[in-house]
Amino acid sequence: MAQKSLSISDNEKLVDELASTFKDKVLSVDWTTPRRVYIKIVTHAHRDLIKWIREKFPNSSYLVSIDTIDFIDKGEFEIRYKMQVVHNNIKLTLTIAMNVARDYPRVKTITDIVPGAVLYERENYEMFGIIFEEHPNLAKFFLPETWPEGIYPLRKDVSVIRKKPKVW
Amino acid sequence: MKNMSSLISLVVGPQHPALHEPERFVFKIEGETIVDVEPRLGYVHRGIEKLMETKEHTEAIYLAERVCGICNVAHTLSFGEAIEEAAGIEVPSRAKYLRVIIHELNRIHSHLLLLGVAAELMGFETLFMLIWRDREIVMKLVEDLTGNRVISSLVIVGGVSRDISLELIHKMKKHLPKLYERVKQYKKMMEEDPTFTARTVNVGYLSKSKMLELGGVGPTARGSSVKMDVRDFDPYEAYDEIPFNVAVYDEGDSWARFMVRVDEVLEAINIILYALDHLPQGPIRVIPPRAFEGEGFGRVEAPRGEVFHHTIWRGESKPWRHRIRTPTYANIPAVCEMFKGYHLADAPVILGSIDPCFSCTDRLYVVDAKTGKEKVIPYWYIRKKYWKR
Repeated sequence: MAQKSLSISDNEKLVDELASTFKDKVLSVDWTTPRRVYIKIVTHAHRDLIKWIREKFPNSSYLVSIDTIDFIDKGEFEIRYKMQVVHNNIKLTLTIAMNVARDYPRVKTITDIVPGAVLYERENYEMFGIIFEEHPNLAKFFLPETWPEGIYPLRKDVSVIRKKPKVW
Repeated sequence: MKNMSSLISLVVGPQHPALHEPERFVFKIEGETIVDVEPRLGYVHRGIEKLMETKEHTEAIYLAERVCGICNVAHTLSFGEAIEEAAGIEVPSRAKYLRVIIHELNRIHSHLLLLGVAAELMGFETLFMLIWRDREIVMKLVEDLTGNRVISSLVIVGGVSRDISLELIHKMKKHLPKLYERVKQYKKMMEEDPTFTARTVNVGYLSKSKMLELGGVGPTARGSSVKMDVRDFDPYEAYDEIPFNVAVYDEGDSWARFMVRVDEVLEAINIILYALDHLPQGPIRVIPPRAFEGEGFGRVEAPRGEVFHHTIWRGESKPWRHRIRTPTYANIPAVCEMFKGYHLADAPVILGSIDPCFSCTDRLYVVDAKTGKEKVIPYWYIRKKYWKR
C-alpha cells in the first residue's frame, strides 16, 4: 500500500525562505493545513512574490486562481493569488493575499510574469471593478455587452436579486 | 501575419450541437492555418457565485451540483469539503469511501463520454458506438447506487445521502472488470488505429513550460508531462489511503491528452475495486451546523481538472463569499495557444482534447485590411454563394 508520506519540514522551509527574503513585505503567515499556507502581504507587493516563486520553480509551479473578496465593512477588497508548488517533497498551496482600498481599486497586472492570469484578471475586473494596470486587454468576458457601465455585480452593495412584483 | 489582406476571421460558436458550455472562438486564419484565436465566454453565465450568497448550504449544494451537469459529483464534493472545513466537522470514514466510489464512477462516465465524442469528431463512428455502449455499464451502476443516472445528489454536507447495499457491491465487482477489459481493448485501438492516430498525433502540441505558464489543469496538463493531480498533491477524502498512479504522457499533443483519459479510466476502476474491498463500517453522515464562522477551501480533481470552491462564512446562515473555479475556464488560455499554427480542420480535435465542446460555424467576419472594417456575413449567404449545386 502506497502511503503518501509528507515531509512537512520542506513546506515550512520554503515558506520561511520566502518570509525572510521579503521581510518588509510579508505581514503574517498562517498555516491552515500542513499543505496550505495563507500569506498576508502589503499592498502592491504581489508581483515580487509571484515572480520569486515562478523563477524558483519554473517547471513545478502554476497560478491556480485570482479571487477577490469584498469586505465592505472595512472599506477594502482582499485580492488573493493562489499558487501551487509541487516540487519533490514540497507540496504546497500558497494563498498570497493583499488589501486594496475599495474606493481606488488599482493594482499592477501579473500577466507579464504569468500569462495564464489574463482571464482571471478580466473576470475580477468585470465582477469587482478592480483595474489591473497594463493588462493587454481588459474587456468584458462573461457579462453581456449590454451590461451597464460601472455596475460590478459581485460587490456587496449591488443587489441583483429581483423583487417579486406585488400581485394585489 | 505577413499578408494582412489574406487574414480571415472565422467565428466558431456560440451555438453547438454536441455538449454543454457554449463558447465562441474567433479564429484568425491565413489560408488554412490558424494564426490567432480570441475566445469569448459567458453565454451560460447564471450568476451562481452571487446566488450562493443568498442561500443556506442545504439549498446551495443543489445549486453547486448544477454548475456542471457532467462532473456534478466533483462540484458537490468540493462544495461539501469547503463547508465541512469552514464548519469544522469531520466526515465518517464510510462516507469518505462512498464519496470516492461515486467520484470515480463519475470520472469514468465523463471520460468515456468524451472519448466517444472525440471518436465521432474524427469520423470514427464505430468506436463512438462501442464506447458509448460500455458507458451504459457505469450509468446503470450510478443509477443503482444513487437513484439517478446523471445528477447523482449522493454527496451532501456532512456525508452521503445513501448507503451501498451488498448486492450492489457484488454487481460492481462483476461488471467493472468487464469494463476494464473493454477499455484496454479501446486503448489498443487508439494506439494503433490510423483513423485515430492520423488525426491526433502531433496535433495541438504544447510544451510543459508553456502549459505551466498558462495554468492548464487536469488531463490537459498531464498530457504535457505536468505531473499535477489534486488527489496526489493535496489528497482529500480517502485518497491518502488508496494507492493509485497518476497518468502522465510526455508527448504534449492531442493524442497524449486522450490517452491520459483512457489510463485514468483504467486507474479509476482499480480505485473503485480497492475502495469496495476496504469499505469501513459505520455511519454515513453527521449533521452539520446551520450557521458558523470560518473559511473553507474544497479542492477536488474533477474529470476535466481541478475544481475548487472557496467559501467564507461570518457567523450567518449564508456565506459572505463563495468562489468557484472550474477547470475548462483555466484551460482556455492553454487551448488558445494550442490552436496556433495548425489547420482549421484540426480545431475540433484540439478543442475536443481539452474536453469542452465543439461549436458549429455560425457566421464569418471578413476583415478588410485597408479600412479595418469588419463585415458580418451570415452563414446561409456563404452557403448560397459558394455551395452551388
